[in-house]
Amino acid sequence: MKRTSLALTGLLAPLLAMGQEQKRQPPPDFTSGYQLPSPTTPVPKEALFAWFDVGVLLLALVLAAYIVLSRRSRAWLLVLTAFSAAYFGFYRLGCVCSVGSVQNVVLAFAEPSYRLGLSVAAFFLLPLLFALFYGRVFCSGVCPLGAIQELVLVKPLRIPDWIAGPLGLVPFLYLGLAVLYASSGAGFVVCRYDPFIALYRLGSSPLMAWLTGMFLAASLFIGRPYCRFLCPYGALLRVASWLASKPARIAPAACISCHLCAKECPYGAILPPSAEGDRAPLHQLRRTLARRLAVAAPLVVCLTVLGWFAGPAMARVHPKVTLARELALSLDRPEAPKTLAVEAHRRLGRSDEEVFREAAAIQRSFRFGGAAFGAWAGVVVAAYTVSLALRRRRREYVAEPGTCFACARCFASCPVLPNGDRS
Amino acid sequence: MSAYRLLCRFRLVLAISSALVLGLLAWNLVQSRSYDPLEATRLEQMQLRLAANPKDDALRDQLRTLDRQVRERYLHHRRVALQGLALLAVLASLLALAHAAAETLRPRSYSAEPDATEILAQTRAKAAQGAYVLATALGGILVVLATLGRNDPLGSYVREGMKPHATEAPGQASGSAPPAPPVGQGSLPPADPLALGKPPLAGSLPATPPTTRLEPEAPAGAGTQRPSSPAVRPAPSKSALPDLEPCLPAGLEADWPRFRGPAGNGVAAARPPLPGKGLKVLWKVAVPLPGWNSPIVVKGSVLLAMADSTRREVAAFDARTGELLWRTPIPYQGPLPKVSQDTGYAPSTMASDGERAYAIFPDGLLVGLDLGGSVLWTRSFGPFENPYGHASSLLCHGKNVIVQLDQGSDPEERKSRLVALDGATGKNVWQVDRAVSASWATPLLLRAGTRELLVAMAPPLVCAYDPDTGKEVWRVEGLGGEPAPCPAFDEHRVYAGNLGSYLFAINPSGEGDITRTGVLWDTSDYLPDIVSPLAFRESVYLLGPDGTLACLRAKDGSLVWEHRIGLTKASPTAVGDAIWLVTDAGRLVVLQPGDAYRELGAMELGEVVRASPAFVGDRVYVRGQDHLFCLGP
Repeated sequence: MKRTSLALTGLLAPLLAMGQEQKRQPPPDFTSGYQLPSPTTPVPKEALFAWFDVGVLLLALVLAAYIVLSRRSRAWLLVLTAFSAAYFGFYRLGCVCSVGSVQNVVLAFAEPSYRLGLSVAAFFLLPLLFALFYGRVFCSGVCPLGAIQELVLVKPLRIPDWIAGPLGLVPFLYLGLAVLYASSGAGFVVCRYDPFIALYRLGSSPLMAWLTGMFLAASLFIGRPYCRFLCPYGALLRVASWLASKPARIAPAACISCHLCAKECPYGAILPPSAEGDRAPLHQLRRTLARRLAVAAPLVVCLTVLGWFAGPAMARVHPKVTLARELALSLDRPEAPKTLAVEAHRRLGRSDEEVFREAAAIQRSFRFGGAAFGAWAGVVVAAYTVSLALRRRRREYVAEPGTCFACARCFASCPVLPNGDRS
Repeated sequence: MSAYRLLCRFRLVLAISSALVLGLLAWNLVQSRSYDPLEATRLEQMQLRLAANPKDDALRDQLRTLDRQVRERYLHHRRVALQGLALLAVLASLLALAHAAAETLRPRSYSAEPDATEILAQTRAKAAQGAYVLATALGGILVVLATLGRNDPLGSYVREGMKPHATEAPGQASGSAPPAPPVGQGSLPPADPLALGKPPLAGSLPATPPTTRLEPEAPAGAGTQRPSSPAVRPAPSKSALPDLEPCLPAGLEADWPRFRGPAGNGVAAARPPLPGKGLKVLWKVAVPLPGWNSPIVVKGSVLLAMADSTRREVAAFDARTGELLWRTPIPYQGPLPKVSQDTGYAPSTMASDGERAYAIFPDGLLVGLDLGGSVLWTRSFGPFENPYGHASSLLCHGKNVIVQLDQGSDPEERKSRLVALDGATGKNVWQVDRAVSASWATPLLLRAGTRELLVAMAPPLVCAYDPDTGKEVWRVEGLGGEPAPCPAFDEHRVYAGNLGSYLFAINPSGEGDITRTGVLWDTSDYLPDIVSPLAFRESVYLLGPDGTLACLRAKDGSLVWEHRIGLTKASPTAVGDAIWLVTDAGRLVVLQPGDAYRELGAMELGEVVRASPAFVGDRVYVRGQDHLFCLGP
């Protein structure tokens, strides 16, 4: 019931947010005697606040690692999760967050004049650092985006592994897109389409409010759909977690292969033991591996070429290309109303040629960017399929570090006590 | 029927209902876009027409009707959306509950775990297939994007060597705005006034782009017309522009007797060393009471007005040592004026004619003091009808004190005045009633050829007066917004404008209504909200409310460069060959004027600064939130 009420609150919140969303409207066109207040710009917050946020993040990460690895307590983890949703989400309005910081870091490398704040760098690095040691403890109870999904998960429906596996590649593709757009100066798409920002800020565009509602509705029955199937930072954390030296272990002593933990995991992150023998003959596995390796190269080449040709269209997200397109449309159809961007361009007095030249340069660079994105996507898919053809041996049920969110559900289901007895 | 099956059916009904409501809400959302006042093309067109022809009452009435109808329809859609959302929330809640209950009651069947290895092998094979499907889908998306790219209208412009189409009118390709419809022509289209977002009907409007802001030169005397933006008029030859000079107060040329210096245009004769090249804090003293007004420096004294909600005073500090010379209390005599926090109780900068000093406060009390701090006379002009509190600063012309007293929201009520007082007695020398609404700007005094001009700005006018008689010399109509920045001038032009309106570059040599003939160019970009413009060396520097400093060419208003320097309220000052600025955060920045942003030096004062500094000799006097700083070698 508690989870149900939490879930309902989560479902209703974006709707209320939409209701409260006040769209700015222009003043009436005639004088009514009402004096418009002058717009004010708030003074930027002191840098101290940013470092306070870093301190809170660090403390939360330490607590998450402690709760998951030492206390093995789901209840305390839920408390931390609620705190993270309240602080990083509702109080700090979802910014700065580690998920979006990827783009800041990329832009800092791509654009020398862009200055990366140290606190932003800390938000980017600290969760990765913890993942290198303890797995995805950041996702477990610190990330505000994950927190809200964790809190509203009422009735987890298990997505078949053969669907969840390929869908788990989407974050890597999204990461590629985010890197492409951030490095080219086109914008921070991850932040622009953050599906939970409407909830945390209690207001947004109708589209984003709908997106929030959809994700929250999905989160009622699907465990962390954003984290598993979209989050680009999650892709980085996944890679870092594969190298984790001390990830969460399900059984505190020897696993008795009771299968209870795998049933409990809503994320399909627990893999069964293969000790009974992978009956697939070795030569069959080798044939599969050879087939997939053979497919890998053409796949990468094919997607690279397609990315090259798709590059100019992908560049439409860039504001300068958008302006050039609107300008071209306005020249083609002078009778059509002009957009604000075109009007602004006219007022600035810049020549149209300059705008088209810039757009052409950006489109050219996007050809390379699109090709790189295609190649990246090909490599990701190829690497995944090849990895599926490799034989792995597991002697017990293990949480796959890359996909385990360290949510601590499986601990309670494990009947093994620390001394090896069964409960 | 079992309870489980009943719940399943109930769940199905709820799911269908939710989907239906969701669909209707989506439809409502699409519909509401058509009536969004922000997107209403028709409204914008009518606004432009009305701006071009403000006397057209019929057009005004139609605009009002359309405006009201758009808003009503838009708000109706919003109401429907909120009601639909509430219904959807209820349905979704019931759906979640029904699902939870159904899952609880669902009959379970238990079976032995299938062979894990077998499952794993099958899963892996399917997962690999799924990954290939994903790659294929991505490939499909890329193919679609590649196809879209080939049909992009931009493509022809880019491929043809960035040359615009032949159908384009001459002159457009070079960045100049396309020709505009003749103003005042054409009647409103008889179409459904709610049919928004559609191009106007053929024949009802000129075939030229309807949203263009450029207007052609119309013959003089054809009625008042607001210049549009961006509008670069055929610039008169330089010889046709008058030579402008400052009206410097006799004996105070080297002092800082008013807001923005002796000339009032932010140009200083002082030569302090640059930050990092000898500039240091010579002294720093606490200011007893708050106030955002700027310091003035007269005959070795730094004068400040200061006030909070209980006390107010005028104080003098020794300009050499910072020693407090005197403090004169100016008691409140009536109810406290209503002021905003940004205005405070002492926003107006004092002025001095060398014998006396004058201070005005938001309740309308004007005080004349001698330079020893004794009150000579007081005049009360308040209370003002001013939403933020009166904030215009004073200036002196000869032995007269000029006070700009603009108030009210309706210019036709003529509540505003411009008054010249005898500095010795406080009695009126002349007074002009002004048909303007409230403003917070300070007038500007200059000499254009043989005549002196007092330029004051308030919606809807930039107006010049004879400072000796108060007689109006010329006016430019079309100013809007809430003017707080002062006018400025350079060798040939006067600049006046503010956020929410336009910045006009004015040739001040005309007489009467020079809206058509005297505005050389105007712009609505980079407009300042508080900070006064600086006109210096054929450039105009504007500092917007977001902290962006823009450098425009004085001859045509085109942008030279822009740079974000941080939130700033203090106005820039040209000192020698450099431009000095102080940001809100207390960062003193010195720039080199030119074709690009370049800092010559910077210095942190460590305190919030909103007042414009005073420059005298080799010293700089900066009023911070709590302290008065003296910087120098």
